Amino acid sequence: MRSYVLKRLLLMIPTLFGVSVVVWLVLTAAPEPPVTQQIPTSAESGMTQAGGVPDAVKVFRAQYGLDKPKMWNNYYALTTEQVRQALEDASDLDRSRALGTRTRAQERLIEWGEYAVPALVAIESDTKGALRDRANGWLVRAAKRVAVGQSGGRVSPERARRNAEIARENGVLDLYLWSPSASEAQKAAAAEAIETWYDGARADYDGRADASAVRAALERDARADLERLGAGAVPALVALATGDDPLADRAVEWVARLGRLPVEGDEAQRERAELRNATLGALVWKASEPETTKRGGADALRTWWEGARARWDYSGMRWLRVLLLETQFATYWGNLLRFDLGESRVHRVPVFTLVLERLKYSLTLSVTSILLAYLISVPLGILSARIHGSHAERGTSLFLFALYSLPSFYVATLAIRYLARDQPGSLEWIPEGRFEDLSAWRLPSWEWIRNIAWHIAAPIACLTYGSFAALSRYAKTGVLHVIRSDYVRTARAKGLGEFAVTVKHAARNGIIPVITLLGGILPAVVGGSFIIEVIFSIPGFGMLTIESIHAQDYTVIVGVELVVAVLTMVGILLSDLLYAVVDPRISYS
Amino acid sequence: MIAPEKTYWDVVRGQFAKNRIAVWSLRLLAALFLLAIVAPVLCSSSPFYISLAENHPVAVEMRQAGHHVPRFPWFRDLFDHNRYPSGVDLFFNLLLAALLPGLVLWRVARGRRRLAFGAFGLLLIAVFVAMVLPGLPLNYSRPKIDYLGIRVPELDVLRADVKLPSIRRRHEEAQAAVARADARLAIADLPANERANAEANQLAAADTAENAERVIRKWEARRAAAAAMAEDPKFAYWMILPPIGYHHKDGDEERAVEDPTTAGGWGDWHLLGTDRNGRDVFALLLYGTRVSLTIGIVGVSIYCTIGTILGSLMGYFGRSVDMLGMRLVEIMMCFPQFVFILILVAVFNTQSIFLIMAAIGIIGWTGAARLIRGQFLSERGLDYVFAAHALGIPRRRIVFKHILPNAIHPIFVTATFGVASAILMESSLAFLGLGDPEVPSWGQVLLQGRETKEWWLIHSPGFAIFFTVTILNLVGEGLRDALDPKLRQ
Repeated sequence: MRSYVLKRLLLMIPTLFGVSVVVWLVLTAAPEPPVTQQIPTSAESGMTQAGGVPDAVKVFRAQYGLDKPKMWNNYYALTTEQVRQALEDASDLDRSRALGTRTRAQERLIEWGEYAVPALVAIESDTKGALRDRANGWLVRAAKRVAVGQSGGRVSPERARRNAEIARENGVLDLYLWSPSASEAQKAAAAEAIETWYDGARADYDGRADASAVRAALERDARADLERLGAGAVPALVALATGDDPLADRAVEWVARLGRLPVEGDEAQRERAELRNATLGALVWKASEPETTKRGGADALRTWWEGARARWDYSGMRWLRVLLLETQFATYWGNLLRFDLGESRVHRVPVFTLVLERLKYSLTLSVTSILLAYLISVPLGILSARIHGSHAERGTSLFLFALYSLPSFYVATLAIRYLARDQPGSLEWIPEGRFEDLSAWRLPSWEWIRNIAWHIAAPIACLTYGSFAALSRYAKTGVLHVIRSDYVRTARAKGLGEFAVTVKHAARNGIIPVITLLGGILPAVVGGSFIIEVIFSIPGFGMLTIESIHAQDYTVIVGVELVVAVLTMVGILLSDLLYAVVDPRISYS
Repeated sequence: MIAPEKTYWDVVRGQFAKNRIAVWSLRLLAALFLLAIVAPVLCSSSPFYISLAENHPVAVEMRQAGHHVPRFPWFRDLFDHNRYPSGVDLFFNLLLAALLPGLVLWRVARGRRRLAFGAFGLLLIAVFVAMVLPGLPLNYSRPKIDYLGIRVPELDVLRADVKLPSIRRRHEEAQAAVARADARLAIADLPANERANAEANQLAAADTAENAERVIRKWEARRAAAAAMAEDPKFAYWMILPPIGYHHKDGDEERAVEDPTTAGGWGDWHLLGTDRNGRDVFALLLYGTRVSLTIGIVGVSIYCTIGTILGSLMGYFGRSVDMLGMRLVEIMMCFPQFVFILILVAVFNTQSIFLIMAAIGIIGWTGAARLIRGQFLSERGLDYVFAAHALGIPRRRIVFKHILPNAIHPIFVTATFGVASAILMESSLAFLGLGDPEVPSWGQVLLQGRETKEWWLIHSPGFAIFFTVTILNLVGEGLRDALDPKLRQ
């Protein structure tokens, strides 16, 4: 017996894993929730057009863990050729591709995400023309990371620091984009970059122009005046650009224009001037001279790439990590181990908390119902075995059979319609639903339990009557099986009373198989409780699921499914173990 | 030659025939099927025969559009995608069209069953090619005649006749209330608060009475207009209708939630009342039978096929195949079937009966697989299997041609019970509002009953479900008893 129990418990592990896989399959089969409904408006998130894809999509996918491949992540082995092909298809510069090809390629690039960065950097540095522009757009988009965990409001300091870091790096990345529309983070990053640049270039500008004059000129947008001030105005402009000034935008433009060095002198001087001008161009988010901007941007990008390269280094065992762990499935499993089933979109609380909250209602219903079913139908079965063959027995089994065929949601509707309090012309025997009265928690505990019992009597009756037929039939056949055996005859022969013979001798052995039926009845009762809960407005799993279905709150639906499956599994396991305890002859086969 | 012995199935049939309840249930089941097939004969707004006055507006309009009004529209509409958009309905209509010729064939080919089956199959294909295929292309457009529109004069009179008594009653009640309030106000020493109450009551009742009077006038005017129109020779028509002249989609908002009635006579009966959209409940239930039976049978067929194949493989090969298969079964058993189906339907977010069928089929196979596996475990050690092996017969053949026919019969019991529970699941889903709203379903009507609290909307679908599930279960019981080897003779 011990080895049976042990084997049974060990087998639970693969089953549990399998259950989680099935739930995950359902989760991935779900269509992505409609993006447009879910993402915040562009004003909030600073949506950036890059490569034709709004970044909000990326944020959304990261939040729902959709930005990784499903089971295996072999994107560490992406070749430059693959990416180049996809890029060419996606940008379709010669307009020769079908729409489907184009969209598919775009989707592929989105799917590859950050794993395509090394290839994109390579393409960007050895390509010219429009394709290079596209590569740049995709590169910036792919390299950006998403700061996660901000919706719940419970961000750890460490997480917040990392989020800030990510935001800064993203801001810097945006600078390398040829024509980004300015967002706050970008502006901040630009101001920072200008400061850095000015630290190095300070010596070239003497600052003879008066700061207030510069400001006045800017305010009037007096081009001629500013041109006249020339490079001398740069220090004042830098001060304006990096400060928190409404004129910052205009100031930056003028820094880029006036800060330029004349390209003259010898080779070294010219080169230095060119580089300086290009860098300047890259720092400005409104690029006026695309070609130089690009060159400066590419230069700066290369610097960034040198620093950030480690992120895309798949040497050693890192590729294995990527292959197995950087996937949707691994993320899902990691979350499961932390009892994190995600967050409800509607209730704004973790699904696990929500499910625990509702567990007591469903558990009360199911457990009471199953206990009642056994308590009523086992004696009924024994009795039927006693009077086997009589009209009364046949009548009983026919009646139970009719009950079995009676749909519980019909009976529940009838109960509410004709017995509940607030219905026209009803008998007013039962309350109008709910698990307890709204003020029931104020009652003393005995009264409170009575209140609950009064409320759930009808739901439990509806949930229970269906199991009578199968259970009592099983009990009856079990008893009939042993009632003809020798030891029962012996018991009768030694003069024991009929009660002792039937109940103590025959029934105790005969009803053992009834325990195995629990495995079949439990899922039926749980499934039935879903619809009964809805009819009687009991806020258990069923109500939660139906509400979530109507609100398209997928995380809750799937979370409930997982918890229900695990609970059912535990129930079946318990029934198997119980069987082993009652009948130790069993062996695992 | 040995004299032909009774085959196994002859024995089973003999056993089954002994069970009177099961035999009657089977007959009732057949009747239910027949009812589902002949639904359009009982409930349809397309008349069997129609003749319109020469200058009837509809006829004129049709002629101008280059069509003529068909004389026998009922048969043609059987395969009209405007009227029967669902594939289920088209299939049943196909059966209906082939029913009579099929019966004739059956009589003619008496005894030669194979011939009869073959001929019937050809017939089905012929009707399909001739009637259904031309309609299948998406650009299909056939002028849709609104037969209820032709019946407007008559229907308006009927509507008024149904509506007027209740409004008159309301009017009288309101007038009585006014009179009561007047009487109370006439008492001289009435306390001030009661006086105020009575005045308020009087005002409200007077308002109601006035409203009711207006509605009565409106309906009387409408009735008179309709009656005059019915007299007008221009609007004259003559048609032979099915007893219930409403399709399950024909909703009359003005006759919503109406008691069962036979007012209006043949063609205008609402035997089981109307639902909230004014659709005929009898028609809804009748066409719902088609949907329920189809979902049950198709879903169960899918899972029995899956279960049989997996169970055979598990039982025959044993060891690791069995181990893997049983783990899969165990995993699937952790999910309460109804919950799983509910969630699949929710996740895919398309409310289609075909999705429900597929979900039932994909999820329900565990029972069948375990059953067949058990059968295989006991069969595979028998001598005939060894003999087959010794003869060098390929394994695939042994599994599916030698063992399976000996192992498969318990699945018919599972399947019969399975159809019952699939029907329950479908109506439960519809009851929760997750069914296809375009397709009539018993659960959907029951949901309306729950919300409107009207007895005919609760009991008629409830009883339909109960009846169907009971007879299916009884047939299953009979089959189980008949197949039980202990009773074999």
